[in-house]
Amino acid sequence: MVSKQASGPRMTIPTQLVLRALLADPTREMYGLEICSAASLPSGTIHPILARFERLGWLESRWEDVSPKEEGRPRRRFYRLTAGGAEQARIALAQATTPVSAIGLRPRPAGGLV
Amino acid sequence: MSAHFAAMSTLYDEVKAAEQAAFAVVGHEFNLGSPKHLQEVLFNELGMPKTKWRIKTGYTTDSEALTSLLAQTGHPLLEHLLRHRDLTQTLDDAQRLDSAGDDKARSVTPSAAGLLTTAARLLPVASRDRYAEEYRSELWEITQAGAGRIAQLRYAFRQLCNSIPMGVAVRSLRRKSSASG
Repeated sequence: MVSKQASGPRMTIPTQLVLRALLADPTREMYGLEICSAASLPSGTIHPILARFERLGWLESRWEDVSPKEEGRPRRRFYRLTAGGAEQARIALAQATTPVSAIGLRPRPAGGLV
Repeated sequence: MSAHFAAMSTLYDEVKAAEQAAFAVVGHEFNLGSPKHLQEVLFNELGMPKTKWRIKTGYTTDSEALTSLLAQTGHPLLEHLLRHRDLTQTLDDAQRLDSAGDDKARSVTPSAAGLLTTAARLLPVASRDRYAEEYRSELWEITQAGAGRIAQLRYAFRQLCNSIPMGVAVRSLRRKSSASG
C-alpha cells in the first residue's frame, strides 16, 4: 500500500475538487452525494475517484449503521479520510500541476444533487 | 399557506356547507353518499315522485334523476344534493391528481433503477453487491430531493458510463488487497 502512495493518483480537476471537499473537515464522515455537493460535481461522477482513493488507502468507507427496514430508506455508504490519507492528500493537492485554485473554479450553488 | 392548499381547503368547506344546508332542509342528518338514505329521505319522508327502478339498487338517485326531480318539484334539497355531489366529485379529482403528482415526484423510475443494476453488474463480482446498494441508495436520495424521471435517468446513465473506470479502480483494489493479504 505504501509504495503506491508515493506516486499518488492523477490529479485531475474533479480529483482535486473531491480532495478539497474531503479535506475541509478530514475527520468527518460523508456519504457520496454529500461529497458531490461539497465538491460541486454532478451526482454519479465521483465513485471512480473515491474507489481510487480507497485503493490507495487514503480513504476508508463503511455502511451507515441503520436498519433500512426500520428507517424506511436505504442505508448510506460513509467515507472518511484515513490519517495517512489526509496527509497524502494535502501534499498531492499542493503539488498538483494544475491546481484548481489557479483556474478559478468555484463551487457552483447548484450542488451535486441532480 | 400555498394557493393550492387554500383552494383545496375552500372546496372542502363548500362540501361541508352543502351538506349542512341539506340537513337543515330535511331536519336531520343523513348520509348524502348513500343511495339507501337518499331513497328514504326523498321518496318516503318527502314523498317525491318515484324515479326509475333499478333491480339491485331500487329507485335511482343518480345525478340525472335528481336533476329531473328538481325540474319537477323545485325542492331546495335537490339543489343542495346536486351541489354537494358536484363539489365532492371535484374534491375527489383534485385529491387523486394531487397524490398522483406526489407519486410521480417521489418514486424511483424503474428504468433508472434498471440502468443502475446493469452498471453494478459490469463491475467485478466482489464489488457488485456493494455498489448496487450504494447506487440504489443514492438514486433514492436524489429522488427524495425532488429529482424527476429525467434527472434520475441522467444519474443512472453517468454511473453506467463510469463502469469501466470503476472496474479498473475496483480490480486494482482487489489485486492489491489479495497481494498484500
